[in-house]
Amino acid sequence: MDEVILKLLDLSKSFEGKKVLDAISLEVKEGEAVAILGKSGVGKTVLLKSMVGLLKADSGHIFFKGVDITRLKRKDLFAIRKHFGFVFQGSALFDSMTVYENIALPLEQRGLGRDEINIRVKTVLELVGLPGIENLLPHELSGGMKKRVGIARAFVTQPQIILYDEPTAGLDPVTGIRINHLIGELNRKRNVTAIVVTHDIRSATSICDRIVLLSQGKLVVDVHVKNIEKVEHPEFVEFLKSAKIQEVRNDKK
Amino acid sequence: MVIKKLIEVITHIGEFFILMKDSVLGVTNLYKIRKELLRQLEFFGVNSIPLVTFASLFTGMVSSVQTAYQIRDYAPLDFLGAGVAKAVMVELGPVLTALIMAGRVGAGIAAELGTMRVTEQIDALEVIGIDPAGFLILPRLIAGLIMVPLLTVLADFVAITGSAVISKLILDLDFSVFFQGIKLFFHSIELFGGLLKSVVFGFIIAAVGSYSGYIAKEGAVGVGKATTRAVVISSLTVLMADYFLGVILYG
Repeated sequence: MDEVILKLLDLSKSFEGKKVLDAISLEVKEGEAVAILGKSGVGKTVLLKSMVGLLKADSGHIFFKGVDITRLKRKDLFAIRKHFGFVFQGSALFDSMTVYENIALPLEQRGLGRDEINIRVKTVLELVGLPGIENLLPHELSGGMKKRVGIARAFVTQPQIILYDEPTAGLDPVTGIRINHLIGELNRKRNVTAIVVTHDIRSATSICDRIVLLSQGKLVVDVHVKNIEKVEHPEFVEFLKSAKIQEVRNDKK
Repeated sequence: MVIKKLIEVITHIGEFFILMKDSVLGVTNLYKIRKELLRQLEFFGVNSIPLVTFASLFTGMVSSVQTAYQIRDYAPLDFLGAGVAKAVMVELGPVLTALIMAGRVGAGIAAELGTMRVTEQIDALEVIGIDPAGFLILPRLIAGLIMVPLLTVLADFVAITGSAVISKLILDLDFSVFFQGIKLFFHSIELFGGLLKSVVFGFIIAAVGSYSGYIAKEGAVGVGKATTRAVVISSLTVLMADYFLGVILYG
């Protein structure tokens, strides 16, 4: 539990001269659930995609279990990504494939047998509460269903860490709670490390152990969820107010 | 400004060849991409048959009329079949098929891959541990290399047949005379040179369409730009390659 699974060291990234990430350093331990909070357009997704090498950082290092992935060759990077799961904001399901094919694809690439693939696909679909939809195409699914299939695809390979990009964005509150519950279950019961990018502090507090706040390219807050009331940073307080958690905080005072 | 644009073009050319290299290296995983390859063979080939047949039929028919008009003052109509067949096998069949494919398939590839790029499906492949170059682009390249020559053979056959029928109906030229003319002046380099051209054109259409879609950004607008870029660049490159291949093969 105490072993560091992912470590960012002085990570910087600019787009057309504008610095989006400015010397970010962060450590995530095995089994931990960390929320990266921040306003829209602040660079949360850039940070998340940099963690798996989808975006190349201008400077700094990213260590996965001690291996610096910023220095890896293309082939080795693909190999190390097999330890990651990634849930995209828009689900990113493959349009031309059925739900079954979407979830089975990473398993087929790993060379698993058909029987094993069938069992795993069935199991994860039951886990995300969507049994029996194997033959549907992505356009036949609702937004919430797509998100859950996306989670199933990320989890089916039994990764050590799953990165979630705005998992509840654009969903109704009931579906959002269901997704949060699922992420929490994968983290706590299956011991899958979770990094969740969100601008919804209620999601962050319900899923995660730790919350970090990204503001103007820097991580300005790093706090355990038990201590969020003690944070004085104005932007963080603003988030708390927006979620009406501020009222609870005042009551406690 | 000009230097900046020049650097941009050179960068694109460099990235294009790196992407093609990565795609070709994916050949070691050919078994894993068999489903996508079959899908692309169907998209490239089977689905293009009606369009290529229609276009080449009318091209062959008009070729008869035009050639007859052009040679009537200095050559007997007996040479009509030879003239039309040479034009079709060397130039019209390969180039016309390639331009149709650039419009239909090149645009389709760019739109599909562009949409996959902007909806993060290509990122999703990378995270799964699949190299998108080998998984998405290689099947399209193989389909292009196989299907464009096959469609060119179809186009040649339909155009020459259409030409023969019109020669009989309008110019009262007997089938036997028409085909005798083809037989008398046939050189295999004309047929195989045309097919060699179509192999190169197939690569150009698949590669340019794939690269164009692969680098798409800026949402729906970006996909639109990628599609237009694919059709324009692949059509112009086909015409340019046609000239150089023509010089090498027949010059």
